[in-house]
Order: sequence, then C-alpha cells, then structure tokens
Amino acid sequence: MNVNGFKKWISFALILNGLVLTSGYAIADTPPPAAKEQTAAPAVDAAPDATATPPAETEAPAPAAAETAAPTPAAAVAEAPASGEASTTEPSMVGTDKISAGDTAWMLSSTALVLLMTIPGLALFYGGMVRKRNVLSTVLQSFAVCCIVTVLWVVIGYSLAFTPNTLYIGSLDRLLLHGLAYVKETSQLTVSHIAPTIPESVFVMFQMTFAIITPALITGAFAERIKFSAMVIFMSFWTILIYAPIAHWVWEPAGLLASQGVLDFAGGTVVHINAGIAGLMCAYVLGPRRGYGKEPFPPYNLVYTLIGASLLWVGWFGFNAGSAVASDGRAGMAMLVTQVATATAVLTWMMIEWVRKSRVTLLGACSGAVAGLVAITPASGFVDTEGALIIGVAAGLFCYWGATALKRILGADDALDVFGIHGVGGIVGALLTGVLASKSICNCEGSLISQSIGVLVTLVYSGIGSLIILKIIDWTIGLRVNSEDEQDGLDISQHAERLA
Amino acid sequence: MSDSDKTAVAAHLYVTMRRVANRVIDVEWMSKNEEYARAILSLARQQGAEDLTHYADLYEGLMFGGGATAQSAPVVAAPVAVTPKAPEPPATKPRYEEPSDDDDGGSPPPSRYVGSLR
Repeated sequence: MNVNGFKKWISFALILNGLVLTSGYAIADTPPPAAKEQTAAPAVDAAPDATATPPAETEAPAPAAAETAAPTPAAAVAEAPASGEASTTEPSMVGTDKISAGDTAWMLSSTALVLLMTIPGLALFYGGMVRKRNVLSTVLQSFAVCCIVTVLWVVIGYSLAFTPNTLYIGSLDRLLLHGLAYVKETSQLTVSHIAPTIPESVFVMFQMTFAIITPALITGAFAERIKFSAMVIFMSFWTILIYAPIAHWVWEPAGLLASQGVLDFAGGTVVHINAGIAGLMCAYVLGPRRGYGKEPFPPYNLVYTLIGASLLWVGWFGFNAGSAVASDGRAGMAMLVTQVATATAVLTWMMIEWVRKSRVTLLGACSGAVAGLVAITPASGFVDTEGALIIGVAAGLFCYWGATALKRILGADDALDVFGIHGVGGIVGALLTGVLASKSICNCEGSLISQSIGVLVTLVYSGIGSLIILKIIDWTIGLRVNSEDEQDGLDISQHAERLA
Repeated sequence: MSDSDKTAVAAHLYVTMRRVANRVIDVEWMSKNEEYARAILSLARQQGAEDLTHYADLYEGLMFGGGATAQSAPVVAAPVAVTPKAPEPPATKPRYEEPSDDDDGGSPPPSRYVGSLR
C-alpha cells in the first residue's frame, strides 16, 4: 500500500505539472522569465544583483538586474561559478560587505515575530476555543509541531524548498544545511539567491518559521480527537511531502508556479490554502467528534483566544512585511495594508453578526481579524490601501460564510474552522491579488487566471497528498483516539495532565 | 447548613442530572423553593443512578434535615472526582467535567456552540 500510494503521488504530480505547463504558458501575458519579478516577493526589492548593488541601495528598483536574475535552466545553474560573488540563481558565498545591516536587523526581528505567531499566538488562539478537557493537548500540539518542523527544516526541508533544481522540488545541496557558512576569518558568508542582502542563516530561520506555522494551523481541524503519535507522524511527512514542494513551486524563482507568474507575497497559497485544504482532509478522514452537532462544545476561555489573535496580528507584521526580505518601502506598504485589511475584516465580520444575530461576539471579532490577515497575506506586497480595504471587506464576508454556511455544506467537523477561515481567506486573497495588484508597488501585472491556477494546483496537490498520508497513518497506527479517551479528553488520555 | 453547602451539592446534582437524564435544573431556585427542590429530588431518585440518589440524599439532609444529613463534606464525597482509567462507561463517567455555567453571568442559548463555534 505504501508503494502504491507513493506511485500515485508521483504520477499525480507529473500529470499536474503537464497540465499546468501547457495551460499556463498559453495564457500568460508575460514571458516566463519575467515571472521572478512578479512572484518571488523576497527577491524583488532585495536587489537581485547583490554584487552590483550596495546594501544601501537595495530599495531602488533595478529592472536590468532583475532581467539577469530570471530563472535559469537547471543545467546552467549547476555550472554557475561560486566565485565569491552573489549568484542570482543559487545560494553562494559573498563578503560580509554585501550584507545590509538594516535588512538583516529587520529580518531577525521578523523571524522572532513570526515564531511568536505559533508559540504562543496560535497555541492560545486554538487553546481558548476547545473544551476544557482538551486545552493542554491543543496548545501542546502547536509547541510540538514547532520542534518537529525545526529539525526537519534544517535536515531536509530548506534544501527541498529553497535550492534550485527542478520545477517541482529543490536539490539536496543544503541537506543538513551543508554548505551554509559564516567564516569570520575571511569575512565571508553564504546568502540565498532569493535574499542576497541578508545572511543565509537568517533566511533559513525566517522561512523555518513559516514552515512551522503552516502545519500548526492544521491542528485546529482535528482538535479534540487525534492521537498525539499520529499527529507527530502526519506533521513530519506533511512538512516534507506537501509543504516543501509547494514552497518550492511558489517561492523558488524557477519553481512550478513561480514560473507561471503566480503571485504570493507572503504565503496565501503556500501557507493558508495549503493548511486549509489539508485541515479539511483531516476533518473528513478523522470524522466528527463524539456528540458533534448534538451537544454544545463551549470554548474553554475566549480571553485566551483574544490574546492569541492579538499575538497573531502583531506577529503578522513580521510575516507580511518581513516577506519583503528588506527594510524598505515595500515592507512599509506591506505592513500598512496588513493593518488596514485586518481592521476592515474585523468590522465587516462584526457588522454581519450584528445584522444576522443582533449582537457582536468576541470570537467573531477574533475570527474577522484572522480572516483579514489571511486574505491580505498573498497581496501584501502587491496592493495599495484601497486594495487592502476591498480585501478586508471580502475576507470578512467570505470567511464568515466559510465558517458557517460552507461548513454546514461541507459536512466535516473542521473543529476550529481551519478551512473556513484559512482556506477560504487564502483563496479570496490569492484571487484578489490577481485583480488588485498595483503596478506602481510591485512593477508587475496580476492575472486572475494565473492566480486561479495557483489556487487550484495547491488545493489538488495538498488535498490529495494529505489524504494519502492520512490514510496510510490510519491504516497503520490509527489516527483517532478511542471513544473513551475522547470522552475523557485528550489532556488526560494522551498526556496524563489536566487543568485544575 | 449554609447556602454554599447546599449550592455545592446542587451543582453536583445539576451536572449529574444533565449527564444522566439530559435534564437541566435550576440550582438557585432549589435552595429557595422547597416544592421545586422536592420535585427535583424525586426526579433524581427516579433515574436509578447511584450518584443521583446519593446527591439527592445529601441535599435532602441539608435542605430539610433528617437522617440523610451530610456527614462528610460534599465536595470530598463527590464520586465524579478524577480517577484515571476508570472502568465506568464513558458516556456517564467522564474523568473530566466541563465547568458548570450556573454560577457565572448566565448560560449561552441552548443552540450556541452546537455544530459550529461561530
């Protein structure tokens, strides 16, 4: 069964690539080489030609340099000399004088902010929404995912996602971060071709925090019923088989979707649609919680949820503005539109509740905030303030629908509405990015068709891939706790701990 | 006996009645209205559950006096205390009780949080 599942997975990826390649090139307005400017947000403002551009000038557009930074055939990339100057197609060694102190300081700060989103932000956000008997297990899941993904990321994840190789997957050049270096004696260090003004170590850490929060988001879908051991195994395989390839497709300039002109500034596709659809698959495969739809599942403490949502909100500035990989004007715009879209989505959600239920809820406000944050994520480096207002309203409307009406239609016990908010919000943001991208901000053109392809490919690959992983785990060790353990709560049954 | 003792036992009755018989009782009103309290105690005993009978006896002793007065502190006597890996059927004996909401600012509507958080 393992072999069959693997074969199916490989076959599916190949077929999918064929479809996307044939359709994508036919519809793209711009030739593929220009896609790097549009797609890999981290590379755009970060002076693609680091050897020619001093750090202080990283904010200035360098169209000519960007041209030269266009995706290169893998063979040519492999032959690129590592001559001590920054290559634009693969990680390389540079002198420390090529590093921007400002960019590096901002990226260090952003990295800490994004990590704060998961621990404790997401842990508290989710922990407050489950029943008292499952609070500890829920927050522990986020904490454990943080540790699992950290190790996997440095062992293999970063290399698969952020080194050039094929359209589908990176190379193993950075296995165990082999080749990543900082040599004090010669004042040299390695940089990523995607972020040439900051040390590669910082880029590895920054991207690691994205890899951490994405599977951590999924935990909300199977809350209150999954075995801890099954969760650990699922997250491990999912990070390597699903997250790393999709990150490569979207953020590696020569990746499958990046080369099609798909825009995703900070992870609407890679993080939110990806986690949303995986969460939905988890909810389907695990089945509903005992008593779901018949008895109330009151949240333990919505103050925790508010604190978690607030930490997510603040941390999201690192997530979105940090994705500029520079402390520049584009990062400033990303921060501004993040705040505007989020506040607008909260107001929209509250207004819907007011109209429909004659009252505004705390959980609704927190949900609106996350919806707005999710939806602005792919657009944050591409849209202006007006675009942010539109995205905020759309996020509030569609995510409210996703967490209520769509949830009933889908019929899955997606416990904390991972698909309803992250999946739907990610789709809304990705599609609107194609409509609202401002040429003055990103020097690029959005395409609704390209964005739709990006959404579709991610939904299909992540959905089917997650389903296969889940089924294999279910057939082997089992995914779900038994009925008695579920009734007692995962805190006691899985961890022998409980809240007083 | 103090009202707090009565309320403590009534709270256990509330939780157990809800779990065993799916009936919600008014804890406050039990201590104020004897007729209501007698009706609830009778209802609790009709369920045939050992826990409920025990609590009914305790409450009757506290409320009306007599042989069934509580000799031990109600909280200590609570049979729903945590006993890991207890063999009882899970539907009636969870090792962890959700907090009762009768002592705070009020209960949410019955349909709230059923099938959806939002």
